[in-house]
Parts: sequence; C-alpha cells; structure tokens
Amino acid sequence: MEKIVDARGLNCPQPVILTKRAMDENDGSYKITTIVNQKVALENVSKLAVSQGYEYEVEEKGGDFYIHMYKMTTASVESKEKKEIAILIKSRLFGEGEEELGQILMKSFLYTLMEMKGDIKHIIFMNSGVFLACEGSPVLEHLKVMEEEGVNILSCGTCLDYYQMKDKLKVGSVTNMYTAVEILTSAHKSLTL
Amino acid sequence: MIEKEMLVVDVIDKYPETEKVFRSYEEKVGSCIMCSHLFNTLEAVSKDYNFDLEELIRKLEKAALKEEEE
Repeated sequence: MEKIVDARGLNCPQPVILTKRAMDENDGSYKITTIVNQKVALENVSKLAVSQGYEYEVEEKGGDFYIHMYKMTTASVESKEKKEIAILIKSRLFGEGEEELGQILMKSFLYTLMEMKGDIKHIIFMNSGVFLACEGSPVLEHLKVMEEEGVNILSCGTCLDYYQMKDKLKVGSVTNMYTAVEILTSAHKSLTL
Repeated sequence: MIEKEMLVVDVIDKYPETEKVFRSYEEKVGSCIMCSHLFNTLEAVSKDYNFDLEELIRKLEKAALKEEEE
C-alpha cells in the first residue's frame, strides 16, 4: 500500500506539513511518497523523514522529485543510530602549519570521506571551516557528492554572517549552535578537526 | 501553550494559524524562515534573526488561541 502526497507547487512549509500528517496516520505498514518540485521542499521533507524515523529514496522525474519514505523498524533504527558519525570542521585548513599543506590535507581528507561512503551522517562547518562549503572552495564537488548521497552538510550561520559569505554558500544548509551541539552529542561518534 | 524549545514545524503543524505569524516575520526579514529554519526551535530562530523571542511567542499564542476559539 502507498500513500501519495502531491505537494507540487506548494510553498514551504506545506509539503512538510502534509507529509507529517500522512506520517501521523501511518502505523508503519505502508510507504509514503511525497512529490515536490522545489529543491528546498525536497530538503525539508527529507529532513522530516529522518526526524520521524523514516528511510527515504529520491527519484527525479521530469523536474519533479518523488520522495519515497518507509518507516524503519526498531532494529534498523538502532543499527542506524549506532553507526551515525558526525564531523565538526572548525577551519578551512587541516591542522596547524603551512597554509598550502593545510589546504592539501583538507582536500585529501574530504576526498577520502567521500570515497569511504557509509556511516558519515553529518558534516558541520564552523568558523573559517564554512569557506569550504562556499563558492571557490576546492572541495565543493566532494561535498556535493556526499550531500547527494544523504550526508547532512551544515554551515554555521553566525560564521557565514561574520565572514559575509551567506550568499556564497553553495552546498548544504545554514545551521546554528543549538542544532550543531544537538547533532554532535547525539551521534554515535563525533570527530573534530 | 507554545514553548521556546518547540520546533517551527511542530508549532505550525499543531496550530496552522501560526503560519501567518511566521509569514509576517518573513516579510520583515526578506527571507524564507519556513524554508531554512523549519526544523529549528523558536529560540534558535529568534537568535538567528534577532527577533524578540517573547514577542514572537506572544504573537504565536494569540494566533493559536484565535484558532481554538473558532
């Protein structure tokens, strides 16, 4: 059985609200598919799915996004929670020392993360780390690949404002300290660079 | 009734009339709060946009109460 929520053409927050209502009625026995035609709606419905314990797949057809959501069983939720890894990146350079080496190492680190796939669930950029998610970053493509594979890429809003880079953010979304701390403390493992 | 720890999405889901309040704040800041901050708490949104948190909650509660009366 499948419940379809056609939210094409609806502005935020309606795609999320309609999907949430379908989830509230779902005892977990059927799949919910929400159709949207805006990227921001796709991102928000995907976030809702994760927050409500659903696994999701996105299918793009003729400019529309079909988000297929399945309620996870307790066992799969537990195993997923066990594996979740969050990474906090506080600088655009990897480690201290020569700037050029720091850039090379950071590029190599993010490339390796991209290739590893799997358990990385969140990457949070703080302070000058936000430059890595902005226009001109040498690792933008790596981050975009990871985002497409379901990694939650977040950049600190205060930091983007401070560096006047908010309009140059090219991957992921803006977050705040509250959300960042919540993610870092609830992940199974967290790593700080 | 509405607490600062509540998420924007939960407030709108529970009290649909509050969407208008958020919409009025969006007009003030020229940014889609319900796009980028839907999964943030009211407290976090207020901090990010420098809103008066108490005033925001007051307005949301007023809208929610109006809805309950109707």
